Amino acid sequence: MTAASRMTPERWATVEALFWQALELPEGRRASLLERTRETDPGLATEVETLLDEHRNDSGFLENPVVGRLPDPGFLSEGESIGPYRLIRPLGRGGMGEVHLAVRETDGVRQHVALKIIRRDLDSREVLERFRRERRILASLVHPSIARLIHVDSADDGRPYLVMEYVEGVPITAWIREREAGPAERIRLFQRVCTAVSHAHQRLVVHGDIKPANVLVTPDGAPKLVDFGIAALLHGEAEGEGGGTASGSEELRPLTPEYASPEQRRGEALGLASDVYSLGVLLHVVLTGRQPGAGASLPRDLEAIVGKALAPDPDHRYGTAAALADDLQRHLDGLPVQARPATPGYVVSRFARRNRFGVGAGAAFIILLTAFSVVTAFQSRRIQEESDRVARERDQALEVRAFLLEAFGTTGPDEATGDSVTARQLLDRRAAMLEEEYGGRPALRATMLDVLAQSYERLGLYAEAEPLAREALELREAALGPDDPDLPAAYNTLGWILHQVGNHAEAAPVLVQAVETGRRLHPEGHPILARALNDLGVNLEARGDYTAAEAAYLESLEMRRRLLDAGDVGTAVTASNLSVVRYRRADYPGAVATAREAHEAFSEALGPDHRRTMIVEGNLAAMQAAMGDWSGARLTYRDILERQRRLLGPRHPTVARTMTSLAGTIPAGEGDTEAETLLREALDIQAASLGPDHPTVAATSRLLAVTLSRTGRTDEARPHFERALQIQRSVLGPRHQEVGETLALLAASLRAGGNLEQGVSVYREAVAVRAEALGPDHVATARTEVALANVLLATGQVDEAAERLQRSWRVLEPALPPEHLFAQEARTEWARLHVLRGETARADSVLQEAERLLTPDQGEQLVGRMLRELRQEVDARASR
Amino acid sequence: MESSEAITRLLREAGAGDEEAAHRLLPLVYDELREIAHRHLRKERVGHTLNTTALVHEAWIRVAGQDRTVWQNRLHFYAVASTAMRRVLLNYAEKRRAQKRGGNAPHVPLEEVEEILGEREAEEIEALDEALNRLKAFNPRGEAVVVYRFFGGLTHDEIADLLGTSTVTVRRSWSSARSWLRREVRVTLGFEPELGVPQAEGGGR
Repeated sequence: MTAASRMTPERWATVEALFWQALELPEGRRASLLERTRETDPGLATEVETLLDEHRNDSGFLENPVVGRLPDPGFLSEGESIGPYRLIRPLGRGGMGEVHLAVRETDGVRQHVALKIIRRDLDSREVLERFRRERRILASLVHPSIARLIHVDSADDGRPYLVMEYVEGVPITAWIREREAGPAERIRLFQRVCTAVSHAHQRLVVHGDIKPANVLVTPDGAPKLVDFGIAALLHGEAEGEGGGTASGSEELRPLTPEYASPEQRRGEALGLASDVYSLGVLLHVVLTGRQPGAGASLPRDLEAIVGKALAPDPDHRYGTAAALADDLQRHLDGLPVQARPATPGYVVSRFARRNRFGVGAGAAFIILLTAFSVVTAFQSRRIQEESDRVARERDQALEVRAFLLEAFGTTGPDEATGDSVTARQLLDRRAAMLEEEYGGRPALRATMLDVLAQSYERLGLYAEAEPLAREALELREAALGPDDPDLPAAYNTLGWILHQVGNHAEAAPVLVQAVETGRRLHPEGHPILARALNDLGVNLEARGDYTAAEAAYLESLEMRRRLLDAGDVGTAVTASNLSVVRYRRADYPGAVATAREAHEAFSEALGPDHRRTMIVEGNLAAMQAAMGDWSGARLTYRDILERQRRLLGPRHPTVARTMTSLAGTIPAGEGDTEAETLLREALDIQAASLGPDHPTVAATSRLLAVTLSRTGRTDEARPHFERALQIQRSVLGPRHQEVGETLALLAASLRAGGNLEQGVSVYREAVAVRAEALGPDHVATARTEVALANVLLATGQVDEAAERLQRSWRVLEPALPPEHLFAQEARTEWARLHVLRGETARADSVLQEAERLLTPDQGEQLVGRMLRELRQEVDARASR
Repeated sequence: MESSEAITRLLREAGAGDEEAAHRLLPLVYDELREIAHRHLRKERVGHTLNTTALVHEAWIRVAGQDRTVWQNRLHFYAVASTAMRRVLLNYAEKRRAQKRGGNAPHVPLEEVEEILGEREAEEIEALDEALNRLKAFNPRGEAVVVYRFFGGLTHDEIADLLGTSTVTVRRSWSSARSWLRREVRVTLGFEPELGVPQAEGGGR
């Protein structure tokens, strides 16, 4: 019927060639081509002519294939529905899956969202589980620069999907290009990105995939981060983008290699520092348009800032995204930036800052005692080492540990009390998750409990920390048995929390258990055992058992020196603790030697100007003072003061505290004006920085008043006493022990100024307050009563004085050794009473006893002077 | 799922240049497609015309979901799937015609077949298949281009890759083979064919 039956490949080749040739001609010229052909080969011309007719009449035969484009596995097409959402158009496809603009219609309201569905080969139940667990936390990220997570669910085929706020914007790099933004504008935009990241970090959410495609800028110029927390959730499951070669499918690859931190590229757990690294890359790209190392040059301080963010070791980077933004601000303000080459000391100092340590603040003669516990370092190191057991579990544990510890560590919960509510809510949430999450895995669950307990402890939430630590311990004992290597640390954590609560007696046996288990499991010694010994020492010291405390510190110190690097901070901590307990035992030379060693170690590891270094230095000064080396102590305090002024600024409260310590080392009569100047300035600083009604202001006011009184300026002292009293009464309460102390000092000042009447009434009040605060039979109450008796005698109120003396003597005599200063003061007043009553013989016998017991120290003090005066009087009367 | 795994393996081998593997793929993919189509029809009976795209996609996802490396060999899958799809559709078309003629009792109920192909489409499919067989005798390249494109949804670039020729050649082959086929089908059926014509989609049934 047609030429088809006769068609051969050769013939077809001719037909086809002519057909194509004709097709390329305008319609009008096709006829002449066919005419020419018809002359030589009419069959060919007819064949091609019919094909051309067919072509002309064709309205699209076979144009639409019976099947559409095959998708990359898992890719969806528009019009498909996922849950209640209908896909409108794809927004992007990447390593994790695909993102679509989707719409949901409810009651006629159209909500446009970005719907992210996880790549098919990632759709394990576990990923969905992780999404479900974290969705509340992700949904809690509410920040104008963070696209909100709206919903998490799984599609009919089981793949998890996330629904996020749809952001109409372009990647930050494209925005900068289109807008031709200047350097300062770029930096400010980038700072807003940092702020958003920081907001998430405070809530322990790591982005994990910061790159231009995830940092969009809306048409009005506002940055908006998308995909927060998603990459971190997928981490451990995701393969590289475009990955998929047959080899190494187990290997973990980052989602976006150019922006991934070295630890991320190694497949390690994501921490906040990974985001800081990615921000560093982004900053470089934002500033120069190129990747770091691609040959673009930057101003020096920006180069330093980028360099610090990109430090290979996470500990060398900016601690937070906010710190990075701050440094950029310093650059914009023309100030020197904080970025500097990483040094080992800097790393340790970052760690050190995270550890809480108590500081015993005080005025004159009060040594700054510190007790440390180094909890986190060794434990995380151990966890890292115990690799093979359950690698997956370890990764998760490290992830959470990093989340918790990093976030709190860099802010330092003791400094960031404002954030502690948020932090606490997070912890509560995590604690609630523990049961369902790790119910079947006791080892991991115990570790998580431990981490949570330590985190609560850092926030000072001991009531929350304790049951968790207890549960961790019980879990280990029950499920993992007596040989669980983490058992000593678990005892230690619980014991230390109990100690921190002030429950020293209950803490003791637990801390002893930590040491004993440690000894059994690590007969050759171990950092965990060394830490347990240190913490036990702190507890023993608090309970007044200085000898045992010293032994514990010594053993811990020996172990730490043997096992750890020279310059280890924990070793220095124990040395410092040892020096303090030696000081308490009045072993001053031993205390000074150990304190010097600690000072050297801190100085080496943390730098000479670190807080810890200076605290040990202050301890040294107090020890020198205790040894009678007042000028040595003053020199040390002056040195510390000078450095603190330089480092902290002249009006920092720490500077003020050192000034009061220094003033306290200046003995009466020597340099009183210097002491006065120091105290007045300290007072001024404290009132300004701590507020005018702070108890520290009261303490310094009182010290200033005492110093003024010492030089006879009792009238000038008066208003400072009054101020101290007013603050203490309102802040501490009218019956507080400090109020009693101040009243007693005020009374003494009044007496010294000759104002006896008022002296009597203030002393009476002081005794009454002390009796209430400390009890009527307390030696301090009794001593004040003796002082009251003295003034009563001076004003002729002999009978009341006698009553007072009898009462106080009943307290003092059995409580104190006979030669004690307070007892000697009481004898002096007895003698005076007898003299005034004309009972010379009785006065003489009391004086004889006092003189027999007099120590050389007392001889030089007021009590010695008074005894000598009374002796003269008695001798004179006897000779009459 | 067994067949998916076998397909995956054969696809890898085909990707590595094993011709034999490519031949053995066809029956597997064919069975897979038929099974999926059948299941779809049983499940979604009411008012649904079989979405052949979804059918091939599902077969593909069942194969590719096994192993992501298959994506690299997806052209082989396309190629095999397009041939398999041609057979699946022809099979339905023949059944439909047999039923209409009151022929042997089919094992596929009429309603099911109707949901896959309209009557006219069934006729056109049969005519196209017959014309393709004749085309292949003197123009194997043209036949492959049409099968890959119409039954497999491949692009000209992909077809060029598969056939080892240029995109221009593929485009020209498509154009001449299509015109030839249109003429043959039109003459066989006695009316203008509408198979795969964009406007006819949906409205033609």
